[in-house]
This record gives sequence, C-alpha cells and structure tokens, in this order.
Amino acid sequence: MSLATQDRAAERWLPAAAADQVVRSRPLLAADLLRRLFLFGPSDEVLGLALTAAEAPGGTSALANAVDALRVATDAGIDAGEAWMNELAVEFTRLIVGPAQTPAVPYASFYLSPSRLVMTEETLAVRRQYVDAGVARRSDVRIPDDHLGLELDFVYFLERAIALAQVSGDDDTAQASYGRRAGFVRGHMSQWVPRFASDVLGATSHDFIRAAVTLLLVLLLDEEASQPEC
Amino acid sequence: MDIKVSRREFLKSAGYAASATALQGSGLLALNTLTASEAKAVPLGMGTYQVRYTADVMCPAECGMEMWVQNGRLAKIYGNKAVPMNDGACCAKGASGQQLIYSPYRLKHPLIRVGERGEGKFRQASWDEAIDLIARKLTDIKKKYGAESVVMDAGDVTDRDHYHRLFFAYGTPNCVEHGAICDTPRRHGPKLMVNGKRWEPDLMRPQLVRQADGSLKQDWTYRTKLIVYNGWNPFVATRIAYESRGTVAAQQESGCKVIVVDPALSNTAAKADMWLAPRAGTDGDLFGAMLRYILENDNQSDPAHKYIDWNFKKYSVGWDEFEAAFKSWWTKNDPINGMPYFSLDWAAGRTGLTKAQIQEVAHLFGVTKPAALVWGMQSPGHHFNGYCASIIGVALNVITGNFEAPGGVIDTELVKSDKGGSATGKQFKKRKVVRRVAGKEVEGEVEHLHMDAFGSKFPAAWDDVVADYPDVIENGVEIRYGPFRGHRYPMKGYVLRTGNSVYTGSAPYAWQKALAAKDATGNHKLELMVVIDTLYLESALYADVILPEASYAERQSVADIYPSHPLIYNRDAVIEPLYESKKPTEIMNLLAKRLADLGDTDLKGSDFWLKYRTEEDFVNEMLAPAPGKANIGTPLPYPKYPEGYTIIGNPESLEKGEVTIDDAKKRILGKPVTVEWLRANQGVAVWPMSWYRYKKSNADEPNGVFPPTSTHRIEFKFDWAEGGKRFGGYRSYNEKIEKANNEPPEGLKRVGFNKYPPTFFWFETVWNPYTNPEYAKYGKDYPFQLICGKVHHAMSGTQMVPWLGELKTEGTWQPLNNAFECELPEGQAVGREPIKAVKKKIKANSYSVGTVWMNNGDAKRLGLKTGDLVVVTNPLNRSTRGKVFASGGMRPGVIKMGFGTGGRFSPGLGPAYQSRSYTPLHNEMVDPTALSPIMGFPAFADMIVAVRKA
Repeated sequence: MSLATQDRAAERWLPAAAADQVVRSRPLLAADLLRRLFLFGPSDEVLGLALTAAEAPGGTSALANAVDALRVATDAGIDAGEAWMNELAVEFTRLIVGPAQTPAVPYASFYLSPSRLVMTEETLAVRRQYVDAGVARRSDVRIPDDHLGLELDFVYFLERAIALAQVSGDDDTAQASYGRRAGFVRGHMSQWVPRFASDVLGATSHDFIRAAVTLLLVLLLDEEASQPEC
Repeated sequence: MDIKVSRREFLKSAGYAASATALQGSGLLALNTLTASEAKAVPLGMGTYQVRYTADVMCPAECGMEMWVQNGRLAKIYGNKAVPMNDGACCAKGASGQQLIYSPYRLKHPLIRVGERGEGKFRQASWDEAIDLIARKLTDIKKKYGAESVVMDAGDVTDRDHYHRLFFAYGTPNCVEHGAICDTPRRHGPKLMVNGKRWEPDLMRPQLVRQADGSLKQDWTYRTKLIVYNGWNPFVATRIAYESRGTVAAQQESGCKVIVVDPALSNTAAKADMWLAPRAGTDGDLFGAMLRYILENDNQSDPAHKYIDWNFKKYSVGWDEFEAAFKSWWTKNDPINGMPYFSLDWAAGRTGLTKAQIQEVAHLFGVTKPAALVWGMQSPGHHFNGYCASIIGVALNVITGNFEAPGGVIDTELVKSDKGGSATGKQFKKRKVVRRVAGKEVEGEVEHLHMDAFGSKFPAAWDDVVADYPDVIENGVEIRYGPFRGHRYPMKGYVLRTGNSVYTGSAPYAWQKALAAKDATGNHKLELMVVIDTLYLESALYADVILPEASYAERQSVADIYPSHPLIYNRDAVIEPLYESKKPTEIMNLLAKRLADLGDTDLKGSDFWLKYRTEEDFVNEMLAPAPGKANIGTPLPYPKYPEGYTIIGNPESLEKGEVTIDDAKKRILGKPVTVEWLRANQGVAVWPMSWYRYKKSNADEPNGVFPPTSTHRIEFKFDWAEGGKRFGGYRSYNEKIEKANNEPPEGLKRVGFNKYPPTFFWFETVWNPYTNPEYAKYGKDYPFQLICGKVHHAMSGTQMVPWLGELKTEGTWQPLNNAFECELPEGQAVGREPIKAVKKKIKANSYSVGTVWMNNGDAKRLGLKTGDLVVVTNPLNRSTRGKVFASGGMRPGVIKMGFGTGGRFSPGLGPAYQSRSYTPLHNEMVDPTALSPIMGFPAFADMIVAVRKA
C-alpha cells in the first residue's frame, strides 16, 4: 500500500471525534457485532448491535446496505417473537458449532491446511501475526488462534487502534495499524473466509445468518468498503 | 407499550452497552495485549520438541506412548519403549491420534437440547449455563426422589474416578462403568474362585525379574507351549497389546502351539495350528467335555496322559464337592440329544465338532505344560450361560497346574497395581441415609441403595447392569435386600461419560423407547440425561445437555491394562484442551461447587475444588496406593523385605531401601509414586514379576495372602460354613436372600435357582435351538446363529479417521460400500509433508463397511453372493440390513456381524454414518430381556436369524 493510500485511510476517521463516537461508528459496530456472533453465538448484544449499527454513521454505502439488510432480518425476527431467537440459536449451532459434522468450519486451518485439521502451521502463522501486533489469545481461551471469532477480534482491535490513533493525531500508529489490518485481511482472511461464507450460504436459508455472513464478506473483503472515505 | 417496541429498545440498549465495553482497555474480547516480555514467551513455531509420556486412548488398549509437542501442538506420536504392554510399538490407530484430537468435528462447546430427544437439535450454551442447568436438575431430583435416582455411567476409559467421586459424594451408589456391557460372564469364574477377573497367557514381555544375585533383569523368555484361545481374538479385537505379538513370539521362540476355537476364521485363527469351529454358544459344552475327559483319562503314571497336577489341592478348597457336583451330571441324559452330559458324544452333538477334535484338544491341553486356556468376550462373555464356561475354564487351568506357572495363565486383575485409593470417593458410600419404607424411617448406608447389589434382579452383579436401564427407566427400582428392603425409587437422571450405551448397551430400540418415554404429565420419565464426551456418538442424540470433555491427550490419568505383574504408567496431558472442552477435574469441581452453591451440603470444597486445585493433585491421590501388592511369589520380588507384606512406593525407593516397615499392618512403605516421579522415569513405574504367587517362595505351602478369597485359597466351593464361619464367593449374596425371607432374585428365578449354588452348576443358554429344548421350535425358520465381534480399528474413535476405517478386517469389515463422496485424509504422507485431505468420490466396493459374514455354502443355497444386500430377521420381529460377505472362513449355520460397525445413526461419524442404510446393526437383533441370570449381562451372541435377499 502506498503512503498516500495510508494517508487516505487515516482520513477515513477524520475529522477527529471523541473516542465514544469512534467505537459507535458503523464499521466498528459491524466488526464488534461479527466478532461477538462468531465467538459467542447469537445474543441480545448481537441483535442490538445490528440495530445500532444501522443508525450509526461512517463506512461505505456497501457496508450501509449490508448492515441494513441485517437490521431488516433482525426486525423481522423481533416481530416473529421469542421462537425466532431460539431458531436462530439452533440454526447457528447446526451450521458451525455441532455436535454433528457442520456444513462450515470456522477455522482458517480447515480451509488452508492440506490436512483439513485444526491447529496446523496456519494456526501458528496467525498466532505470529497477533504477537507481532502485541496481542495474543487470552490464557483462558482455548479456541485455536485461527478461529473466525478470534480473527475478527483482531480485526476489531486494529480498526479501533486506527480510529483512536487518528482521533489523537497519531498518524504513524494509524498507518501502521492500517497496514497490519490490510495485510492480515488481504493476506490471510481473504484466502479462507469466502470459502467459509460459501459453505454457510449454501447450507442455510436463515435470513439473519445469511445477512450476517454477507456483512462479513463486505466488511472484510469488499474493495470499495476497504477504501478510505474521501 | 407495544411489547415489540419494548423488545427493540431493549436490544438497542444491549447493543449500546456492548459497544461501550470497547471503550475500556484494549477493547478485546478473546485476545489480550502483551508486554514485550510476554510476547517473547509466546510459542510461535520452529521451537524444540518436548517429549511427553502418556497413554493412547484411540482404542481401549491404552498403549504407552511418547507424544512429541512443538509450540503447544501435538506433532509426533511414537510408542513408549519403557512400557512393557506395547514395548515401544505404536500401531496405525495410535499414530493417528492427531486426526481425532485436531478433528474439526469434535465436540467443542457445551450444548443444550432444543428439539425432541433423538432429534439432534441443540443450541450452544456457556459452561455456566450448562453446569447450572445440570446442577439445578440434580438438586431437584435429589429432593424429590433421592440421590439414588441418578446413575453415573463412566463408559470405557480408566479415568472414571473423578466422576464417580462426584456422584458418590452427591449421594448415589449407582456409579457404573463399561465393564457392565463388556463381558461380565467371562469374568465370573475368576471372580468367584480367586476374586480376580481376567485370565491371560503369561506373554507380556519384557518382564522385570529378580535374579539370584539380587539384581533385576529384563527377561524376554517365552515359555508357553500351548494356548487355547476360545472366542478370543487378540490380533483384532482385544485391548491387550502384548498378546498378539506375544502369541507369535511364543510360536517362534518356544514352539508354542495355538488352538483357536471360534465359529469364524478370525485373524488369530488364521495364525493358529488348529482351528475348531463349533456352533455358537457351546463353549461351556466344550470345556465341560474337556474337563470330563481329563478327569476320566488322567493317568499319573503315564507321562503321555498325566494331565492333572494334584498339588493344586494344597492351594485350594472344595475340589471334592465341585468334582462330585460335576460328576452328578454324567448320569443325566440331555433332553436335546439323549446323551449323558459332558461326554464326548454329548459335546460333539451339541458343538458340531467331532469327537476326535474334542478329544484331541482335551488331551493336548492336559498333557502340554505350560499351557493357557483363555476364553473371550466373544464366547462365554456374550452368552447367557457364560458363567458355566468361565467356571470350568478356571478349573481346567488350575487342576492342570497352569495357574500362575511360568508360561501358564495369570489373573491380571490380581497382579496389577492398585490405583484410585481415596480419590475414587468410595468412602462416601458409607454415609448414613434415611429412607421412608412402608411408612417407617429406616437408616442405612448410601451403598445399600444400589439398584443391583440390593435390587430385586441381580444382586451378584459385581459390575452393575447397564443393559437393564431401559427397564429401570420405565419401571423403576425395587430394593429387595438389605436394610432398605421394600424401598422403591425411579431412575431420573443419567450422566453418561465417554460411553455409548444407547448403541452398545443391548438393543438400541429399547433404549430409544425408554429415553423418550413420558409420564402422564408429559414429562420425560428420565428427567435428565447428560453426555460428557469428546465425540458425538448415538447416545448424545438423546442428551439434554452435552459437555465437551478434553481429549485423551489433553487430560491426565493413569493406565495399567492387564499386565503380568504390577506396573502403572502416566497418561499425561500433553497439550492444553482445545475449544471449550474441559478436563474431568475441572468438570467435577464445577459441578460440585454449583451443587454446593445450590445448598447441597454433601458437596464440600474440602473434598473437591479446594482439595484438587489441579488435575495433578487428583492423579497423585490415585497413585498413592501403588502398587499395593504383596511381596510374594517366586522369585520373591523384594527378598530383602518381609514376605507377604504389602508393598507401597515407587520402584526407585524400594530398590534403594528408602522404606519404612510397618509390622503391625504388614506394609513396606517407600516413597510414593507421583506424577512428578513418573515424568522423570519415562512415564512408567514397573515392579518385579514373580510366579506361583499363591505359595511361599521357599516352601510348597500356601502363603495365606494370595489369592484374596475368603480362605486365601482357590475356592471350588462358593458358599459353605466351617468352624462357625461362612465362606465363599456367593456367601454374602445368599445371606442377603436368607435375610429377605428367602425371596430369590428375579435373575436366578429365570433359571430355576432360589439361591446362588454352593459349587459347580449348569444351565443352558437362550435362543439356541441346538442346546436348549425351549428354542428347538425356532430352528427351522431361523436357521442361522448370529454372533458378533469387535473390529477394533473400526470403533467409534477410529471411525472418525477415515483412512483407518477403510482398511478391511476379517469378514465383518469389508470393502462393500456403495459409491459416496467424502473428504478423506491421504493414507500416507510424502516425505516431511503433512498428510493432506482431499475430497474424493469413493467408488463402490473400495471402502470397508460392516457386513453380514456368512459361509459361502450357505450363501449359495440361498442364492446369495458377496455384495448382495440382505435383510436379517429374528423371532422378535426385528430386522437389520447389510451386505453379504461369503467365505469359507465361517462355520455353516452361523452369521457374524461386527459389534458397533453398522447402522451408525449419529451424524458425527462421517463415512460410517453415510453407510448406515446398508450396514447391519447387530444390537438391533439382541433380545433386550435376555439378561443373563447372575450379572444381568446382555446375551449379545445368543440369537437366531433368517436371511433373505433385500
């Protein structure tokens, strides 16, 4: 990435705003939503973030559209009542948790390693990127490092670092974090998340899950969405 | 306010609050920030290997393993040369451990059922929620029905103690394990006559043997001259790793002859010098005829016919009574063939073998020394009357002088190291409890509430009666014996850990019906079912809560499978648990703490979470009594210590003399075996071998210690009085019956007994038209006997590893698949490249699946050929489907199916699940009411069937 691009990336969050406003921007709310969904499953927090993100500023039109689609699915679910929430939890469990063999596996190593197992060299490569950025899996978290939820936690961390650095005028940090984020997403996540998303989309007709996975693709991989705002 | 608007506003608040947490600290949820020094400590790759010593649980053999760990990742698996069970060997199953441990399809998170039982619909839950749900339900059940209404079933691995401890403390005596559906009739003779369990040939090598100069030497000498394996298949089906290589080594090095008695040409039979293929369920007939032949033809003055070593009488009691009872049958004629019992003609008529074959095996066993007669789970173990064969088997080995002889037969249960100690929690069963019985308050101990030991059906069921649970769930328990006589209670909770009773504990349909059964209010009769496991097997489909347990490489325990002399090895945790799985110690503590928080005063921190802060604390307590065996036998294991004293302590301290001798308690106390000591000693503690452990080392007389029976001698009598005292293995059960107005248990009533017999007894098996007149009428319409046998490399764990599953084994596991698509790891890695998985279209007849193995002549008569799909039906109107494998390696009139190989209905099992519509489910054919009379064991191999083309 050129320096100019990095500058534009930094401008994405300008003019400076309060930290509170930063974390309530649409891109960060969307990333927050997705990491919670894949780490902990559907919850009131996840649904709430879908509603909140739809009303938040920032991000591209593609992102806005994806978030709004998720909001529509959430609204429909609220209208359908409590049973919908239960169905969502069951369907999410069936798709990526188990106990039967799941249509999609939320681990990079499953898609990227020849063995299709977890805890492979791919996992260690992801761990190295975390440590390079000064983070690691919490000691009480035993999910392998390349779980989608953990990778989204990392993306959220970098997005947040970019935004906060810009608020405080620390352009060097903002640029470094942006470079790291772009490297991680383009060099790693883009290699497997589309395959994961395709497995999910091919196995479910559940509106909320389909909208969430579409949002995942837009947030991470949509070229327009990844461009800084002008 | 509109409720939906309110809900929407609530959710927005939740979202707002969630995003606010990102303002604090790093904003991270599952990651955290590191200092520079912390970052340096994170393993990142290319580090050095750490070698950890552990044990394998890919199959129940639990071989000693070396696991090499790099950067927290299990990288390589080898056998542990220091463990004599496998002596460094590592089979394909052992080496494939990563395929299971790192399978993306393991159970990863706690799950709560949301659909109907059996439907397989779950939602992910937190540990807090899952533990809270279980604890609340357990608390409720205990209040309403009593703690005894909960059963804890710890399946088939040796580290059951955590869970048993928890549930003993909770207050139920009904803590059981896999043995209850393994082979209890097979164990009966050893248990009754020497208080042991499993008799195996003296084949474990190397053995650590004390030399005349006081040193210890690894001895590789094979001495066995003859092995008779009756329904025992160590090359394919057993968990005793040394037995297959030991059999071949004895054949090569000591000229050992091997006779295999099995309706099927097993792999073991293929290596044998003689294969005898009798009708199924006639093991006791053969053994009885051998015993009669030996008694009638023993000639002490003719070396060619000197069968009996009469010195055995010095070390036993009751032979005269046993012999008289046995001989009393010789004058009776069998209604099935009109011939006197146990004669060669009688046995030939029933077994289908020739007189000459029976005479030859009897003669060879009598005259060849040392020899070992071994009977397996596929014969006496799975038949209704297996007890009789097991008892005669013990008698044959003892009277021929082979018990405890070098190269003879060893009761491995009696010689293995003690373990568990106070960690097992058995002491909690001694707690006093009060129950209201017939309007009166009665006090007794927790153990007096045991549904089998004091129940109305099988009070002598030493290993519990898991197969009876479907009936217990539907109809409840009646306590018939002991202080709580007359007390009734229901079964309301079932906690199953690493077992699969729905699929393996007799007929699945009986389990499915019971687990789905509801009472008049619409609630399940069984109010709580919990499954704790690493894999998603059939039983988990019926669970209300599934808890993911750490895999065998992620949790710690000890192993000691059936050795010839005391040894124990560490099953160390070599990597951290993955996902949200937890170790048994953690699960035990979490549940104990939550029960205590909910007000259960039986669960105390000092017994659980404050006592066992790590799993190592627990395992150290398990190791504390090791080896716990007496200093007896020849050569004496420790000649410098008093003979007959119990040895406790690690081998190093015992050799160095770092012991204290407690003369009052007759104990030699060295430094304890600990996890730390094991880790420093290649993971294993080995104490010396000795033989003739029933006699003094320097005199031909009993040592008064071994075997641990009521007389410390081998007992051919099972209940007798002498000198004002009562003795024998059945004594306590008969005393219970007598105190209960002589009301016999239901199991005994079925075979016409009112009490447990005082010495030799005999009764016929079920569903056998060739030995039991009651079933003769079925012979024409159901012309095949159905037997089963394990295919170890096709068990649940290994069915998760397709390249193991696809290999064929004997006739029950053959490449007869339909074409299917599957992702399979490549069978062999290339150079240093990791094994790759590729999506493959599997062609028909190229991948092994469970089959219906039958004789090719039978097949031809029915117009069948290998690969034809058939329907197998039984007189109970049950049926199963499978493809025929026709070969000459099967006795005509017998059909064999693999146990647990077909009809797999858990979607967690990959290719095995895909083939379920055309692979036979053997247990569907089992009669769920045919529980054997003494120990309530399912008659897995007693059934007759008809076969027709599908």
